[in-house]
Amino acid sequence: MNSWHHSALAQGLLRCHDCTALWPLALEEQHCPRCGALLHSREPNSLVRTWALLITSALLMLPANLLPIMRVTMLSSQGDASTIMGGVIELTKHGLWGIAIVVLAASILIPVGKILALGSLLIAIQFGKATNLKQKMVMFRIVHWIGRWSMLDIFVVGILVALVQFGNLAYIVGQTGALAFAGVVVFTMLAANTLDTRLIWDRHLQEASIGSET
Amino acid sequence: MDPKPEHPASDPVRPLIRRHRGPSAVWILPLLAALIAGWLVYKSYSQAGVMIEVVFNSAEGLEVNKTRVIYRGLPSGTVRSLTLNEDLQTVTAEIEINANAQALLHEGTLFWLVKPQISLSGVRGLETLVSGHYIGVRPGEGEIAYRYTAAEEPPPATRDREGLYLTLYADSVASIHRGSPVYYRDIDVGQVLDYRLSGSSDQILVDLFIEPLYAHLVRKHSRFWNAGSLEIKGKLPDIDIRIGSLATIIAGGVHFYTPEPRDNPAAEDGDQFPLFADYEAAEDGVPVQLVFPGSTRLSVGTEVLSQGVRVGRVRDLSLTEDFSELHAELLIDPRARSMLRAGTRFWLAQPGLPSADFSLQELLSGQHIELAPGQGAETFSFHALDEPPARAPVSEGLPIRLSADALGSISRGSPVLFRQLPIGSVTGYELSTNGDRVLIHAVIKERYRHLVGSRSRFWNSSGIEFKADLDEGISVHTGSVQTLLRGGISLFNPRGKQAPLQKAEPEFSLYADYDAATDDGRLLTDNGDELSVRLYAEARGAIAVGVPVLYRGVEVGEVRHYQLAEDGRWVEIRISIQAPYRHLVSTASRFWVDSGVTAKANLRDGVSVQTGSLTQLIRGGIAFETDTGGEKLTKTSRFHLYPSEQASREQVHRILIHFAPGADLAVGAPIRYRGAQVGRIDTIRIADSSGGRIARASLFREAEFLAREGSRFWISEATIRLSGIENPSNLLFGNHVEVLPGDGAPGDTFIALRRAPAYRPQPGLTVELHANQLGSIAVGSPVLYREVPVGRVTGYEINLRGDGVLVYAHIQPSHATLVRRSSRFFNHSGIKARGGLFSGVDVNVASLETLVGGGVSFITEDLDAPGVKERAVFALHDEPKAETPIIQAVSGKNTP
Repeated sequence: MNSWHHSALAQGLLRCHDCTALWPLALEEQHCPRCGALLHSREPNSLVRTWALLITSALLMLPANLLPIMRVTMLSSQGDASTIMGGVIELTKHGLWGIAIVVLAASILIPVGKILALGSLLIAIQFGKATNLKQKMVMFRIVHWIGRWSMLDIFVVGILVALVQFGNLAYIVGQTGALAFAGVVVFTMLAANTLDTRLIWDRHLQEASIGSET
Repeated sequence: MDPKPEHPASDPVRPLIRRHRGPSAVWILPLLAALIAGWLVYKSYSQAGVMIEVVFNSAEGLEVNKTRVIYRGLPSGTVRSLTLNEDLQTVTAEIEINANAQALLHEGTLFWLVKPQISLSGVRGLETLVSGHYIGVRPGEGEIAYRYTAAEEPPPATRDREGLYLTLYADSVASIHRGSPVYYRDIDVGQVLDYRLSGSSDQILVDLFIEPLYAHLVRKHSRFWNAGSLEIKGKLPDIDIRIGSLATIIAGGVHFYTPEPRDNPAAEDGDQFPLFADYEAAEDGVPVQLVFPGSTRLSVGTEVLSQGVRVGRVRDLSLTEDFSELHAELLIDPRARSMLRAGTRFWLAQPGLPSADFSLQELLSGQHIELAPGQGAETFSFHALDEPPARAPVSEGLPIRLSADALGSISRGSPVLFRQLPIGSVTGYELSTNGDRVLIHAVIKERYRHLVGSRSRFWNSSGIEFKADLDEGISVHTGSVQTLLRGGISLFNPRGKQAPLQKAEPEFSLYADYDAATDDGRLLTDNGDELSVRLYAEARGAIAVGVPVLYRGVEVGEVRHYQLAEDGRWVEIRISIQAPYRHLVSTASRFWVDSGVTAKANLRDGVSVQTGSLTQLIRGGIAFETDTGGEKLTKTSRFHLYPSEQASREQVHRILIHFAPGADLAVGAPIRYRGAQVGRIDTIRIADSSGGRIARASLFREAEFLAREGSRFWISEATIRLSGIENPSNLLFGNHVEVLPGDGAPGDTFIALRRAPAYRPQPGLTVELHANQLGSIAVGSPVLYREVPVGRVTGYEINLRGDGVLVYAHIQPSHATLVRRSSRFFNHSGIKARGGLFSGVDVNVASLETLVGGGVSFITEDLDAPGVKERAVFALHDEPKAETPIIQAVSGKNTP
């Protein structure tokens, strides 16, 4: 039996999230005698919450990409309200490939990738797939780390709306698409946070213990 | 290694499992997201446009996914694709019409491309410059359709706005376009929606839209006219350039106005109005028919004036078929309707030269039709007068009538001037009924009415008076440019009482000129306090009107007038003396022509030339002097104008003197009376072969008493004798004529004495001495009293019997009393030599003078003896009595 087959839970212990003190499982749902934090052996309803958040962000992907994120009005002409993808295409038309790729990556590839990655993790946990656990952890870390960059688009919109206010000459108004996109980013990040990665390993330990018992 | 081996996994603390009831609250989030997404889906579906096809002639300006369909400013669709049709003539645009705009899609719906249009009439579709062209749409009626053909031009605006929709009918649409503005007092109050042919195609119907804000301005009787294009009416003085705005020049426009009264019912939708070609045509008025002779030069638009107020104009002209009459249709201002009565007269007033009330308007206005209202019943058809009535209607002022021989340059409007001030004007003229006079009608302004009285004199003051004057230079005198150009009538009021005018239209004579009007200045002088004096001269000389009259060099008056007297022998000159100097003139005044030059050549003073001022020198003048004793002038007083001062003083009385042949006498020889010149020989001519001469001589005025019968004239020569020279000046200036007055009746023909009379009465005492012979006594020999000369021998003659000599001895007045009855005269001349043997030689020489020239002495022993009278007679002894003691004493002074 390898040592990584053991978990605190399997040892009848739980660890305080805040001060990392080890306590007996009996203290489940009680406050940490040392720092006062609520003690859980595992995040409660982690799977359900993550699923909900993930689905939310997946659904928000629709308006985020279909609705325009901002409208540029110049010389009183009602300018085009551009969606994210429209903006990327516009950039490529102007030959700005680098920026187009950055925007495409930050605004579309990464959010979609996150949702797919989290979704695959959740499915793996749900159905107890215990294969390639290490790779899944690596994927999770990447998702967690890269999620913050998805806000790039929102920042651009925010800055433009704030700066480009020249009266009738030109002004930019943020549109609902930006709000939806911000929702996508926020909800994927929340989803990544609520997912208790230890659940991945719990299943693996279960299989390992069953296997060892049998 | 596990940190707590005492708690093995096989003995875990069993967690307390509590089932969570119901779904987690976190599912609200995906629910919300689902809702949003669902809503989006629904929206996208519900907004999914309808694809339609519109065929354009050209895809110019159309852009896929860019060009939008805009209906009333609302984007209602977008061009999705453009394809070239097979016929290669048209382009089909596939357009996605928004779901909310699907109601637009009917068979009658029109699509057209809106492009920016920048023209002088305005900028349309400016927004398309930035946003690109768009497709306009106007919904129509009919079945739903999905395939359309785009219209080339935007269709007329729809009548769906609130406001007033009117239709105008006109013969020509002129420059009116769709969208041309409708103006009310140059305010844009609407626009032309459309124009089209009427059903019968003989008229153009123009649809107007009036903004609701201004709809109330349109009344049933409002009048519309085409404001389009540049309208220049070349009719003076109204060079009528009407430009509504630059826009109306290009785009045309419709103006309207609403004549009074404004309370007519308001126009309603669909009302029809005529559209007049221009403002003039639109003008409202009472139509009046006026008939002119066919040859009248009249133009449409000619104004109708009544006393200078515009009351209408000529709207239309038409000739009758035989060209004999010109029918003019006038449009009279409704306010002037009351003037249209039977008796109202119309005539064509031709422009004249500027009148007193000169105005460019009048000069430029050209002809106009004048209206003089009548009093009869209302009527609207008239015959114009052939020419303006002589008596123009006068509303105020004093009408006068002047009769003249000829019109001269007087014309209608010529001013009537009083002291150059226009106080009225000529209103007309006509021939008198029998044609021998011209009657000129004039009106004096009301405030000058008092200036015209019964005695006022009028004259024609037209023309130029040209005057060259040293004082004032050359002056061209005209009343004014007006009178120069169009004549003028002046008047003045002679002094005297003016009777008030009796008649309403008094009649006066119009004199041809100033002189005639003033009765050659007579009335003028009466006019002031000046004294008018009549002079008669033989010739006019340099006398001209205005020449000054001088009194001792001071100008006291001037020449007013001159003329030839009726008999042609004299020039009658009328001068006026200014009031302050009236008293200077009396019947004793003498007038002469003052040439300004007095030249004196004199042996004593040399030559002296005196001149007056240069002016006087050139203009000359009349000078006068008044001797004492004159009386006040009477009406008939007249004076002779002498050619010089000397002549005036002389005021010669002409006499004829017959001279016997003999002594020299030259023309100009003076006539002297006791040493003073009293006259002059003017002409001498030979009377007969013997050498007798007839001299015409002038006697000066003061010497007139000499022109009497009995006066004696003789030639006095210079006489040189030992005792002196008698009349020495005659040596130089020639002989003169002496005169002795007579006492007979006045006469003017005399026979001169051959020599000086022996006796001449003169102051002092003249005694007659009777002698046997003359001895050496001569005229001029001294008369001595005790060797003192007290007189002279003035003459001698043979006594009447011839037996003796009569010697006249004149004793000076201061010594006259020395002659007494007892006086004894003796001849003093010569050398008295008495010789004796014992007494020697006694030579008694009185003096060299008496020795040569002789002399008379007298002695008076008794000075108490009575005096003697003139021409007392004494004997002239040859020698004094020796026994006279006094004489002895005197003469014997040399004796011891």
